[in-house]
Amino acid sequence: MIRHINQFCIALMISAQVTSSAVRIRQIQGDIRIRRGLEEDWISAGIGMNLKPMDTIFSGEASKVVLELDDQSIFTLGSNAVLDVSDLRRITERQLFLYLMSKKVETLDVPESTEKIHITNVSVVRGTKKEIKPIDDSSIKKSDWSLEANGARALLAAEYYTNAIMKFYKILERYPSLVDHGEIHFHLGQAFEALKKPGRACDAYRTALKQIEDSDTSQKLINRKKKIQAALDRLMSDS
Amino acid sequence: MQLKANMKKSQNCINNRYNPGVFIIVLLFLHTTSMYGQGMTRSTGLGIRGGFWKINDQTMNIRVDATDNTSSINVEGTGASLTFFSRLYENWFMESSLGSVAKVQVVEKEQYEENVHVSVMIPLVFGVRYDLLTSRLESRIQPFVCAGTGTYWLVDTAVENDNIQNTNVSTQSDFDFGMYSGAGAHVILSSWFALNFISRYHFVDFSTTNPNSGFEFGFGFCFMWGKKREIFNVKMVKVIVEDIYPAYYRFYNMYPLAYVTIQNTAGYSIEVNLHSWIDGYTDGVRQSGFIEIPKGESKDIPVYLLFGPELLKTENREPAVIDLEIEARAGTTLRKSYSAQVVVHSKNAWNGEIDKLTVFVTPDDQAIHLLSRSMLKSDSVSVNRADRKFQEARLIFNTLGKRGIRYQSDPNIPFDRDDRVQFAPKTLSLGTGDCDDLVVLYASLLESIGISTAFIDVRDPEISQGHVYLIFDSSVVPEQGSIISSNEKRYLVRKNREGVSTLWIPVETTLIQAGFETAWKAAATQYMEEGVIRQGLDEGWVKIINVK
Repeated sequence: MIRHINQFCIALMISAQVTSSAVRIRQIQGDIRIRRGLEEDWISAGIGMNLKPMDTIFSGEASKVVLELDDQSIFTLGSNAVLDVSDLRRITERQLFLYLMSKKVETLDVPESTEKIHITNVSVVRGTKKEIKPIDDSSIKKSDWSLEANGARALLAAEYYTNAIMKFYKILERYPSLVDHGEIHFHLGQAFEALKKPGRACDAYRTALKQIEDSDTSQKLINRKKKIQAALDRLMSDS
Repeated sequence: MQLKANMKKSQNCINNRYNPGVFIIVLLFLHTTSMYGQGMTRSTGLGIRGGFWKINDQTMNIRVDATDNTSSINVEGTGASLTFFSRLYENWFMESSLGSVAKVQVVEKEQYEENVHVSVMIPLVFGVRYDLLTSRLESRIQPFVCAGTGTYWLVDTAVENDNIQNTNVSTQSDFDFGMYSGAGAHVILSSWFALNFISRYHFVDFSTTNPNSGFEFGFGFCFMWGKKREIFNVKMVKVIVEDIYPAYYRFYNMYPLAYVTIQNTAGYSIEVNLHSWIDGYTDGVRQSGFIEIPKGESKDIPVYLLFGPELLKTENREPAVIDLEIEARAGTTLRKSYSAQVVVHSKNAWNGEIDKLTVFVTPDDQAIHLLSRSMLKSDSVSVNRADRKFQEARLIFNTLGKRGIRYQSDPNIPFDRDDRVQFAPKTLSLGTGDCDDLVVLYASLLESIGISTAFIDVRDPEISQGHVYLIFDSSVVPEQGSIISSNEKRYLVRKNREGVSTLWIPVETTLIQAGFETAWKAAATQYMEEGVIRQGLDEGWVKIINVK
């Protein structure tokens, strides 16, 4: 009963946050567009526009937008970024924990049956149609994920760590085959470290290290590798 | 001369009486039969036993002397007794017997003089008996030991006839206390009848030197009745599933509906077989098979029932009784009956658990199978499109709308708190259904053409009534999401049955009359608001359940 009441109260609080959250555009520089709810089309943003949680905001090349959140705080989104307005809502550590746990549960295998007599499932189902691969649509931009990653980076820079973590995980989920040379996991490590979650931070850093191949010799990746190693050393010495 | 001939026959009979070979063969024959006979199965018995007891310690003989025309017969201690026993506890019995053993001595001289001497011993004894086979043994022979005490009344009568027709009769009696101890065996032929033989020594006047003390050998039979011996105790019958929903009948066939806790009280290992059924609802009797319960232990025996599609004919909610028969086997076989009450709901009843809603989805139903294919034939979608499944699902949804399928809330049935779900053919024939009926219909149609579906269950803590809508697998990978929509909020990215991340399209089936686009948008908005922004998915009040 108490658990239900708690859940009800939490839901009420969250609901209140969502419904009352009004984000207002205060400053615009360059190409700033918004997309309302589930609409397909982008429209130009204007100063003083109110944005709803379902809306999305886009910032183009050499552009910037300053948003005023419902608590009067200011959030700046830099160039080449996409951000959902809902990503700006307050996400507590508990909510983040629940999110991470639910993702972990999804990956768990179904345990083996303990029945003494086990009839195995069908090993293969025949009937698959040979699909003809569609021609790659030019509208699919390979940099889509990096636009969203820039939005997540903006959250990280603004110290919205919980929001940034959820956003990074959603990018990984939405683009399962992206190759980022450990960039997203590096940022996840930074966010977890800032939240004082050394265990999760170490895991993220290690994953990022694995994704940077030894053959990668660009200065950017070498620097990232050094930063990750330094962060790992720091975390290990702290522990 | 006739008397002499009879005497010779009697002598031959007496000589053959103690043939041990015949006795052993009879025992082996009885022992190797397949009947279980360990322990006296019944609590009470009454028997008659013939016996032999040398009450005067003399030799039994028949003598005929032709030279002086003298003959004598000395029949030593033959008689019968009536016995009664009753179980005290487990293998212990109280027993009593009232007997009469007589010794007859007849001496005849030259057909003129005859002396007859009759001694009768009447023992009335009470004692206890212990059946020896406490370990489980497949046998019909039950050995026992016994001991007791009682009264021994001896009456001697002498009749003397001389050759001048004078007859003298003299009688004297003696009354003593005494005791006995001995051993024997029952040969149990059925649960109500047994043969028995016994050997016991009587200590008349509590002395071995008393001339009447001696061994008694008896052979007889007894009839048994009364309660069979308890070898197990039912400690508890715990019903886990008190409400039986016909739609879940396959589920019930795999999981126990109740447990019966049985304690072994036999003092040795027993085997238990549980029979269970519900008259009028189950397809026959389901048996657990014999399960061994070690000595002194208790075991929970699961109660399974055997349901079939017939259960889906249940129209109304009705109370029903699970009949349980426990068959315990340990030498003897005992049966006990119990019952437990349950409620069988109507075939459309649903207990509200979202994972159980999937059992109402019937893609293999012939009507659904044909309908989905006929819908696709009417406006065939290009088979080579990457979004083929998305287009097919859209077409089916819009066709359902054109057929006039619309939302209608469940009927209010007094005293019935069940949620009701219609199977897809029923919704098609009625043309209406509430949210769960419509998701079941749409999921059945999509699954019948190989499109995976899942239910999204919403139990918003702010709203008392729950809601369910549907998502289906478009089979489009996220990188190609723009061929479905450029707005990623319109779909979910989740793994399909093959473990590949694909786009799943939400559809609000209650908006079936508004068309696919509206229903899609409405469901996507719901999912974003409740599942993502309010974190209903993480909090657990929004759940996604795969139909298959």
